[in-house]
Amino acid sequence: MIAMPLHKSVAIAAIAFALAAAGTLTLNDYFVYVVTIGAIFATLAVAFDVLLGFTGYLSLAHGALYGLGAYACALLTSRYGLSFWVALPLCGALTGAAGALIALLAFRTRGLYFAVLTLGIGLIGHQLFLVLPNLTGGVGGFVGIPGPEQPGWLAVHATTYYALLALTLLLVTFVCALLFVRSRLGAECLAVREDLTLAQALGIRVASARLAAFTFSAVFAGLAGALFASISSFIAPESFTVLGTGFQLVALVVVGGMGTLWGPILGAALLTALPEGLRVAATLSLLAYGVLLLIFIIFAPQGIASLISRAARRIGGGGREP
Amino acid sequence: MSLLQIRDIEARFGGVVALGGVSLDVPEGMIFGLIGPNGAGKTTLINMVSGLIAPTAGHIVFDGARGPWPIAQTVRRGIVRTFQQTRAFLGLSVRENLRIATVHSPDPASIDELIEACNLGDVLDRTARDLPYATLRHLGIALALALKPRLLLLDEPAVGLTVGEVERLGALVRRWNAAGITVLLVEHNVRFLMEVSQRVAVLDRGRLLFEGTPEQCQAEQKVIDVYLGRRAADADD
Repeated sequence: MIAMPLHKSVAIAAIAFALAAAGTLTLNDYFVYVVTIGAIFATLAVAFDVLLGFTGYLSLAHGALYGLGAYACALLTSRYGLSFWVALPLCGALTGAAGALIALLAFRTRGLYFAVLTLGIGLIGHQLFLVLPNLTGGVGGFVGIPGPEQPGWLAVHATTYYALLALTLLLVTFVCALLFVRSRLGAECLAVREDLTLAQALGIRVASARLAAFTFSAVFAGLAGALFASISSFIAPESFTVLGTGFQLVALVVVGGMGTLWGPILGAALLTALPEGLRVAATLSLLAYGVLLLIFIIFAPQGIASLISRAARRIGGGGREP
Repeated sequence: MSLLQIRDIEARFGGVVALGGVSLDVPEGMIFGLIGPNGAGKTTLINMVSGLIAPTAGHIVFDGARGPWPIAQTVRRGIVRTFQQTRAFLGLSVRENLRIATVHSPDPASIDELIEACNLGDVLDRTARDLPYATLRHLGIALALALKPRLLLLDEPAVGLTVGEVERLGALVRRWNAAGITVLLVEHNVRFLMEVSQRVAVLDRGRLLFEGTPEQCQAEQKVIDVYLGRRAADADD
């Protein structure tokens, strides 16, 4: 796994962003909506990959963190009248802090226990959204969340604007994740993933590395949640369940390719587009996720990314490193 | 003064006494060998010096400071270990392994030097998991050397190697030692240990049985008895 130079990766990401952004200008509202949701889930997936793919910890609490970002944004913009652009970084900071607290608790355990503990936190989070109606609107949901303010010079339809925002957040998240995994902390996270005991024996600060990875993923999950709330204008607890969003994230990253950052974007694209394309989004998308997860774990455990890398190497003439 | 002084180190796991008060001195610049039958407490001693397990009694003195310390601090002070079951970051390439080992250290060895010192030049882009056993060993030791240790703890580095590979390993250990690294070598392979070490200690059932030069050690009846599995009483006949 020889990584390409940073500037090259960023350049490819920027080109992909430009193409996607240009594409949204030509699509009808329905497709623009699918792109928006896909980009938000891709943002979540990229952030999640830093923890799952690069650090080796499976968290099921991220659906709740995503929800925390969403409700925080809803409250700040509607009840406290803050601008979305002020609320957004506050939501990231809040979920980052919550993520750090969860991490301090959860990293007392390993492997299966870590997953189960974060599952518990995900369940608690979802329940809190239900039982605190004064803050969240309870089971009926939170209504009337203001959309992100649109600058006057950007003369596009609101849905297109939202798609551009979601794509921009995805680009920013991807570049930040890239910088993170290429940094010293990122190298230490890889060491934690590969062999915790050896990492400790080499004097790597295991605790701070994995805390940083968890917090990083929590911050960007919160930002994604905030954007989701603002552009949806209505949110309800069912969007932030463990099985829905929490498990969905795992599926996106595994199907896309863990530890690649760009694979999870493809995973999110596929898993958003497929149920929509089959017109079964509402009823059967979880089923589609489950089936795809099953197929990929059995036949291509390294995900779409590795299938593409392998194909590219074959076309590129064999021995070249991806 | 010795670089490492081990003082009355004791290790009890429940009712089992793995080490019953062992004292040793490892002088600076030396290759110091530690042998003993299975269960003698060799690895336990390494675990305690490296900070992986805290002793139930006793202490160490390293470079004038009294320890033991938790593992991260031990590493910072310049004591680095390898593992009996060689550990490396198996899913990553050799190059990435070396990058990870060097990237977090304030004063790491240069990667080129490590490649040279451990003969890894031909396998840089191979995944660690796919390396031949002996090469993986070298990588495991390279990861420790990346931290520029003053004291390198090698836990049975020759296990599972062929005769030729053991010879090559011996040459490498001497080279690192010549570069200024003190080595505490735990080994089952007596011939290898006697050849490489300047001083040897023998542990038996958690106690120090003997300490001296390799020549003295090989002539010592107590040691021969332990290694040939005879009881002292039989030898008296």
